[in-house]
Amino acid sequence: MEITDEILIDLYKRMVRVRLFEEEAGRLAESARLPGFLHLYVGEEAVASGVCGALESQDQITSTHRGHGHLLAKGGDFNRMMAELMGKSTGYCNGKGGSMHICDLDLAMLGANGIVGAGVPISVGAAYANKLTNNGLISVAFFGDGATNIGAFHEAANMAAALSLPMLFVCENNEYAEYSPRHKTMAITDVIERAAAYGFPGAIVDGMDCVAVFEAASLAIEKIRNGEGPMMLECKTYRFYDHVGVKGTASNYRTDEEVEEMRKRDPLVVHETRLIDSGVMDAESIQAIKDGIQKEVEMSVEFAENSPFPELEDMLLDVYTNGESS
Amino acid sequence: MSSDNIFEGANEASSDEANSAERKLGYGAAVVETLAQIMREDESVFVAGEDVGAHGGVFGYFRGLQPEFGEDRVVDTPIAEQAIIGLGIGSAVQGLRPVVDLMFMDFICVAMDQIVNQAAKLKYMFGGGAKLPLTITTAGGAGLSAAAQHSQSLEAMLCHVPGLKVVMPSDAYEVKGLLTSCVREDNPTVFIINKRKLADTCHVPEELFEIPLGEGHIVREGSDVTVVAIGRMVDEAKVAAEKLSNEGIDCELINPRTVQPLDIDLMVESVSKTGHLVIVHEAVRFGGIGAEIAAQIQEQAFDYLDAPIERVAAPFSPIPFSPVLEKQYIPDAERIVAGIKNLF
Amino acid sequence: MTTVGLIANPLAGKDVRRFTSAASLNSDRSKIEILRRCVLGAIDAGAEKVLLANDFRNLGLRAVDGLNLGSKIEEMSFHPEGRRTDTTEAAKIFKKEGVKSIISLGGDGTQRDLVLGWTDAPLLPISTGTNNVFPFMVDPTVAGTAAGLIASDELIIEEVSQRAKVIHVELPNGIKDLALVDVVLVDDRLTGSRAVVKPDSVKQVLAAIANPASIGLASIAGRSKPVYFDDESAVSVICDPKAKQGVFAPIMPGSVSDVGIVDIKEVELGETIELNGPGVLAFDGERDFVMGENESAKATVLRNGPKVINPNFAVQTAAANKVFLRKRNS
Ligand SMILES: Cc1ncc(C[n+]2csc(CCOP(=O)(O)OP(=O)(O)O)c2C)c(N)n1
Ligand SMILES: [Mg+2]
Repeated sequence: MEITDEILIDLYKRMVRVRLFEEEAGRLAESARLPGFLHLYVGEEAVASGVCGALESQDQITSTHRGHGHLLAKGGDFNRMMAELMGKSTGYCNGKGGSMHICDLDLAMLGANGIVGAGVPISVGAAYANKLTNNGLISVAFFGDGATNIGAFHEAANMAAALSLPMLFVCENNEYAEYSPRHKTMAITDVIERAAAYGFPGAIVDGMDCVAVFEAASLAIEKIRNGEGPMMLECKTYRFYDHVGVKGTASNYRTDEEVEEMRKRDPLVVHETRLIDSGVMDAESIQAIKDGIQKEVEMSVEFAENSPFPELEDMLLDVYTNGESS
Repeated sequence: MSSDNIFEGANEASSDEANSAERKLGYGAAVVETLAQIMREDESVFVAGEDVGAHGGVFGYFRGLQPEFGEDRVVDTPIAEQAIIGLGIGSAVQGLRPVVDLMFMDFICVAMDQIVNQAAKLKYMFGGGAKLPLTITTAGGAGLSAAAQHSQSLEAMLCHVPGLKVVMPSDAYEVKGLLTSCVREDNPTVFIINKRKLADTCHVPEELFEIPLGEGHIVREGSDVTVVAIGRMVDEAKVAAEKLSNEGIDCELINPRTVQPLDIDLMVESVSKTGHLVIVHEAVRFGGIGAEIAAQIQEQAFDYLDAPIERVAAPFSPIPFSPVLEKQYIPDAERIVAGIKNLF
Repeated sequence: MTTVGLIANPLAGKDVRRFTSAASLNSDRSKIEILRRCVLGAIDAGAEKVLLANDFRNLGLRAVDGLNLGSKIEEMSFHPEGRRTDTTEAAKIFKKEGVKSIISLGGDGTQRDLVLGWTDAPLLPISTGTNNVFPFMVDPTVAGTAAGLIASDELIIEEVSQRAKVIHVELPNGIKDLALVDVVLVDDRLTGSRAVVKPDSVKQVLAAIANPASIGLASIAGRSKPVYFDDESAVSVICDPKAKQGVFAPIMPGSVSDVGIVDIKEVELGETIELNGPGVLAFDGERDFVMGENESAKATVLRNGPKVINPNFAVQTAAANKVFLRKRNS
């Protein structure tokens, strides 16, 4: 696996897509133009981008409450994303799911999730389908550090291992679950120790570096596709904003200095520096990428704002397949 | 929107408290005040849940407890709903009086075995040997665009399980009186806090007091129709009743306060006076508490009914995210008015 | 004060080589247990104090939990950040505090980070890494005993230790770095996940210790022309996937590769070797520094490294000196 210029640029674009969309969503939320809870992914872009960059387009992923980044890094559409966040009928879920339930089955993104840990067993199911139909695909479960304290994660990990399923567990260890620091809720630091407990390999990688994530994910994926059973990649990362919403500083659970320190390792800046230093891109072409994507983001806001809300008579539509609820 | 500012004010006493002869307190603030007072008088009470300690709860209604009672009596737990309930059950059986929190009511589903198969049944299965003074607090209700997994009203599922008591305070006064009863109660109770009510204030006595579990309350007397409204729907029903009184329909509004046990006698008495019954709840209509109340009323007051029983409740779908759909989804005063008018 | 320094790298033995090879996970729990045995061995052997480097996992403090050793345990006052530099910073403090011996848990990379902070540290390295050419596989209780005996002057360090060789590297940007086992030039332009996992990417290996019986990039040299800890020389191997000749070397645990080699040569101590870019320099197994087209680094091997304490030999020496025979109160 050679990491070509093309890959380096691709990883960068994926991260910029996530970052600029998320920043815009944050601004919209702050000015009360988005309803509901917004869990921003800013700071963690290298994880989704590095992993999704290493996948085949039809490999499935399951996501979390912090799911925008996963869908966008897999190639999600800005318009349908933004429309969904606004609850419009043109959104990914026709306005019925919102931020916490965005999905794109065509991109094999099996949904963000409002229930912590709940996506992991679903990924087991997708991996099982892959194995049974021998389609050569793998499934990936993204989950937080906090999610690994819940039963669903443990049952899923054990089952994936016991059935030797083609599945990659990706832990986004950002050191906090809501407002609780990791050390107060687990007696271990590295979630990969939990993979070892269920009998499959895990490795730690710098989750603020998309190339490190991409390379590590690629190494694991190759083996998983080869039939070697599940593996876990733990990405040490950090969310720059608050658990919900934007702010990010002046919190009662982490210091501003800590946030400041981690912002110095901003995954976009780390990668931009590398692109420039290695001569893959210059500052202008980097800016051009950003400008282009920013424009798309702005257009998505316009698209979403001009889109209609769902029709009231569609309330009961899609409760069941083939037939309406009453 | 951040959880910090959504729920701002949830924890503050009303600002006109000083001017008013009657002390007013917020619905969320009543949770903290009650727990603090109980914890001061009863060492065996402790609180546990996700982010209830250092952060004071994501809705703010545990704020201030950990500074006063320390980390051992106000415990920040891992994200582990089953183990949180188990922590409550095991320590209750050992003689403590735990208050364990499940943050959003939707998360009871993650802990259903511990609630339904364990907490509810231990005493019976053990031939009466165990006592379970366990309180489960959780926030239910829609209206914050929190979508299908953070908005549900699942009380009917719990009421169906023998062994549990299910409590739904409609204002800050009831929060204090009912929560006190729950914590002092020797059976497992689920105390459902409505997350849209947190900042609402009303008169609440300073001292602890108990509202007995299983006793409903007549919010408004009337002669034409009995309206039974549950939880936050009491507010909507009050508005509806006011509106209808101008149109010559006199509503008697009953707030059951607890849905298990259910004060059916109060409702029978009222219906035998009014001859009409409308039941209002936020949960879906099919299999909701309204169905149980309707069944019991026809069993016990069939002869008094002048019209079919009307239910005003949510349609049979998950809770939609889009604000326009959600608004349509949640029963409100307007729909209650329409429901009542159907009877005449 | 007769003090033993104790440090563990929490991240040792947890990188991507767990995907690419049969490397095992070295869990925090196993490190805690090793540390605990080290402490008990050292105190029992007469150390008055154990100075714990507080890694960001608190492995050290967790290891002494419940031992009730009171003032015999001291926690170093510095704030670890969870990075490589923690080990280097802790080493500087060990030096300042004048500890008489240091037990250090980690692989080759960890020991290198430590030596970056204290070049001639009295070092007893224990292997908990992925590649463990430099550190010893030893029961930690015995390691603790050896370190404790040195701290309490029951053993003279010069008699039970040996200076290690160090590969000193001057990077193109003028910064000085070092390696204890090998410096490898890799055909790459990214540090990526740091570990060197592609055998064909190895262009040049300069090894101070090249043992045919050990794991890692140095085994390419070790299985071509061994150089041992004691040998007053080093070895350089030029590799090329298209070479006519190959060597079978375990560059990762359980992963033996056929690496093409075009040239093998002995390197004298003091001699300067050039490593020419483009490529990435890997120090003791980790890709660390990216070199451009016209950049090159200069490497020199000298025997001026840490005083490496051989735990088995130390304890054997102590036994010969009848150190362990103590009078009993009747
Ligand atoms: C079953 C369940 N319990 C609790 C919550 C509330 N909650 C939402 S996110 C979160 C923290 C999750 O932490 P982590 O898994 O580390 O993900 P992060 O937010 O750090 O990305 C919690 C407790 C939930 N949504 N579902
Ligand atoms: Mg987290």
